[in-house]
Amino acid sequence: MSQDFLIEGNDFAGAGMVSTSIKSILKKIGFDPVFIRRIAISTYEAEMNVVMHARRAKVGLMVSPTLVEVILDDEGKGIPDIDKAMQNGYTTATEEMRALGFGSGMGLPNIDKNSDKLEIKSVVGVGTRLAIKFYVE
Amino acid sequence: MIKYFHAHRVIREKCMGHMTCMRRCPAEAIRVIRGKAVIADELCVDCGTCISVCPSKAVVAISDIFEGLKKYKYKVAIPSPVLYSQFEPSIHPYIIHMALKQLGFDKVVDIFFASDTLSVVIEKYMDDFKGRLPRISSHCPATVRLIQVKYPDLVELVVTLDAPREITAREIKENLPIELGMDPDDIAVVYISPCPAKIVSIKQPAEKARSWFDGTVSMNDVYSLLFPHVIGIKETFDISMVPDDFYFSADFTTFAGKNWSSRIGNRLVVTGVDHVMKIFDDIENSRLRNVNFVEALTCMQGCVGGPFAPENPYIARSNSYKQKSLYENIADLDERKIIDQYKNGYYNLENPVLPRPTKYFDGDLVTSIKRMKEKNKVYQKLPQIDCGCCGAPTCIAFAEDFVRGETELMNCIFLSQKVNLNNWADRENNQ
Repeated sequence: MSQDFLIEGNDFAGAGMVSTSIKSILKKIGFDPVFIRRIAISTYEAEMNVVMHARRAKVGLMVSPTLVEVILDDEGKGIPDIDKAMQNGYTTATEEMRALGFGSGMGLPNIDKNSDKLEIKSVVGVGTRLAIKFYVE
Repeated sequence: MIKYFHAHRVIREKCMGHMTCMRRCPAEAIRVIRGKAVIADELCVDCGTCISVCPSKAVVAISDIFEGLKKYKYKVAIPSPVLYSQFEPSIHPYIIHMALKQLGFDKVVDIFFASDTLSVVIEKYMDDFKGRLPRISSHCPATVRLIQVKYPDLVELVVTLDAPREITAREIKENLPIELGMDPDDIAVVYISPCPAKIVSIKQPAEKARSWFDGTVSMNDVYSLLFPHVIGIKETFDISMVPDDFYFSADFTTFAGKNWSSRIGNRLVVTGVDHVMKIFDDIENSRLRNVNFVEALTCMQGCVGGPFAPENPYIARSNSYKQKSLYENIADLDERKIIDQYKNGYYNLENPVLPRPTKYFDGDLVTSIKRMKEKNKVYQKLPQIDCGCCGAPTCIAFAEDFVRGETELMNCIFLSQKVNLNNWADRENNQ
């Protein structure tokens, strides 16, 4: 089963819609609530990253009986140093964003912590691809 | 499979198939089949929206009528605090007690003391608590059911303390038989409820074997009977008739969390089922990071907005404010004793709240995923305008019903009559 979604950059008002939709699909399928929670948190963080740093992104949700995968393909400025971005608290968010409670530099580490596998590919000036995998126990 | 009790039903003869309930039901639990609304037991969360919105008043309460209570020798009424707010502030709360006694109750007990006590307990609970935040109040049974059915991941956040009404009923059930020298089975403790959810929480509690109440009546039923008595008593009422130990505090139920001290820290009160669901979505996404305590009430304006409360909730709340300023007397709470009782588990829920397994697509994960895929395919064929003519609230719900084998594609008027929205669009463009 697969389904696609779109996220618009800078859409702070609509942020969270995609993760809520994904969560609702997974609940209806009947996955374990704790499993869904890990996916929801990871997707939300990834969604916020797109809203803050990219122009737009295509999100693909792939569900099989053994694996749930969320792939985000964004058009944006890309990540110059992925290792650095993976560090707790490292952020390129503006002061204004942080004042509003976003961009505390926990996004990618949080996704990494909540997922089973996280692959990041990024080309500076073009965009970033995040493939987040969750194995069904 | 567990059979779920609900405190409301559709009177088929009255139902005109308006579909208002079907569209507004937050749990998408209602379908209109052959022109009549049908409620799915396992999905209904007892919020009572259908009762409030039905234009033909076809959704009604199932509550214990007074006849059923006649077999008891001694009857105790525990009114929801909302009952007072249904009357003008010029009506002294004690008049309502007197009127209830004229209706046949031997004793009237308020839940104010228990709710004030519980405020102390909740502060202590929050002080001590070290786990996952925010905690969600267990006070509104419709919220608890909503969590069980739609937000299974949040069940562990529900505060494991019992509701003031249950604590009050338990104290009566434990003490009154001794005091009166009566058989406990001869004493009925009856709750006057502003909503179906509280009736259900008494008939079929989510977290324990049985409630301490022996019966419940809907506030609407009581109000009509009570009103003439209240008017009658008011004519001859004198303030000296009020006993010295009469205790009144308009807080908690009517003000949604107002008297919970700031010691709880960052707390949030949300009312109305749509808003509650939005907050729960935020909690699930772990977006609500700076809130420790959530009081979520599914009725707009809290319990004064209950479907069985006859008065407009805004007027009721305004009455409540005035009553508070006129009649409130603050109780002397023995905080040390309360905290000792709390430590002994006196206020705890008997059992934890557990998710209610709701299968949208019956069967195992493999079948379920297959059906979800099929659903998406069917959905693409549908007009996607949620007209509701098929009897399902949305095209997505219709597609889900179809893959579960509960409806036929021909029930969609667009598919059956080959009326294609694109044709309409083309026609528009050609003009």
